[in-house]
Amino acid sequence: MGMYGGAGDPGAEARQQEQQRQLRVGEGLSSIDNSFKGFDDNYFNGKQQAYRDYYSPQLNKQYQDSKDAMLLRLSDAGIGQSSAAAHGLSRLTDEYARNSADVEQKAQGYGSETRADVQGLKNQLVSQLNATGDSGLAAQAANSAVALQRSKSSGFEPLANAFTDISGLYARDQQNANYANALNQPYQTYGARLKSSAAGKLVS
Amino acid sequence: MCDPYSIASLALIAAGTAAQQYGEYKSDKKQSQTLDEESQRQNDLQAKSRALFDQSLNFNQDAAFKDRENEASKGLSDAFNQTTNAAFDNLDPYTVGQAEAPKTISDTFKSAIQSSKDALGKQLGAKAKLAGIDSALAQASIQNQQIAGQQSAIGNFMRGSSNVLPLELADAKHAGDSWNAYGGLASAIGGGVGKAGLSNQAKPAPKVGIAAAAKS
Repeated sequence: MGMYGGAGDPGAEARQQEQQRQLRVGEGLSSIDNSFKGFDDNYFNGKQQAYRDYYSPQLNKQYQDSKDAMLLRLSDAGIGQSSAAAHGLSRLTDEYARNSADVEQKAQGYGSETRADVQGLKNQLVSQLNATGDSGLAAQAANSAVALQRSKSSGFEPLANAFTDISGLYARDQQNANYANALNQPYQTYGARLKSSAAGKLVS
Repeated sequence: MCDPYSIASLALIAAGTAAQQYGEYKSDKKQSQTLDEESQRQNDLQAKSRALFDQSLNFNQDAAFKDRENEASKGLSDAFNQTTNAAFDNLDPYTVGQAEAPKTISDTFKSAIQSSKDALGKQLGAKAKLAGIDSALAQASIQNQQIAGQQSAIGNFMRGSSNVLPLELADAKHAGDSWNAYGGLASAIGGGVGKAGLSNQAKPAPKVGIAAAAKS
């Protein structure tokens, strides 16, 4: 207190208040860290795995269906055991492996994006805490943010047809098979032959 | 020879001046101390911030960045190889109608598979290398965000502390007020005493002695 009986030392009071505020901010930071401690490597690895678990079976099914359809068409066309079949299956499997690699890469990317989202959320809370200096509010906001993040929908969309190009290949195979059949039929009209030959060329 | 009034006056004025000077000294010292304390607080916080910045620099330095890039590339490359091998190795000729095919066809099948597998392996290897840098950048971005969050809190503390300084300096200016006041009071009294002494000297001295006694 000053010698003139004033309202005390404003500087000392302000310093005390600032120290208390910094203490509250420190507590708030601890609360935020505590609320977010569940977002560890296991959590983000789990997110990556969820991506794989969602897309890989879809891709596997599409591949199996496409392979079955291709084998059926090739067998129907009588070229099940042919170099065309070998190349077609190779091409289909190549596409499958390429898509599997994409799933893996996107799974890892999804894990990283989620990690960045969580860090961004945490930084928003730190900014709010810096502005308010209210550790209680920070703890409450951190718990809400964590709950929201955990309940957030993945936003996964079903996998689109991954083998569209290969489906085109089946069609060409079929057309080629028809063309081959037409060549083997002695009474095929010229027009029918011409129509078949214009549809496509042999795979090999 | 000095009279007691003058001596007392000079002593009080000297004491008052000394007290006022001491008051100013106290005020200056307190201000200087306040500045030093704030400077120390700012330096401590600055050191924490600098340590975080160094941590960020170390994380982002060339060698560390390349290590993470290579690690991510290798991880992806391994994963790609695994998926590629699984895809092609599971292509059982018995299930795709090639097992009983003529040797030429069977050889074409094996050759086509191997050729696709090799070509894809190279492409995916390149893809893994390209993706490695994305992963390293993503990791750096997350780390930088994390450090930026901690630094924002430190910056907030620095600003908050700095905002208090003017008020503390204003307090410090009054640190010598008591001494100034007592010094002023002493000087004033000393001046008064001095004046009183001068007044006394101006009055005629009382007649004392044999002559005065004889007169009466």
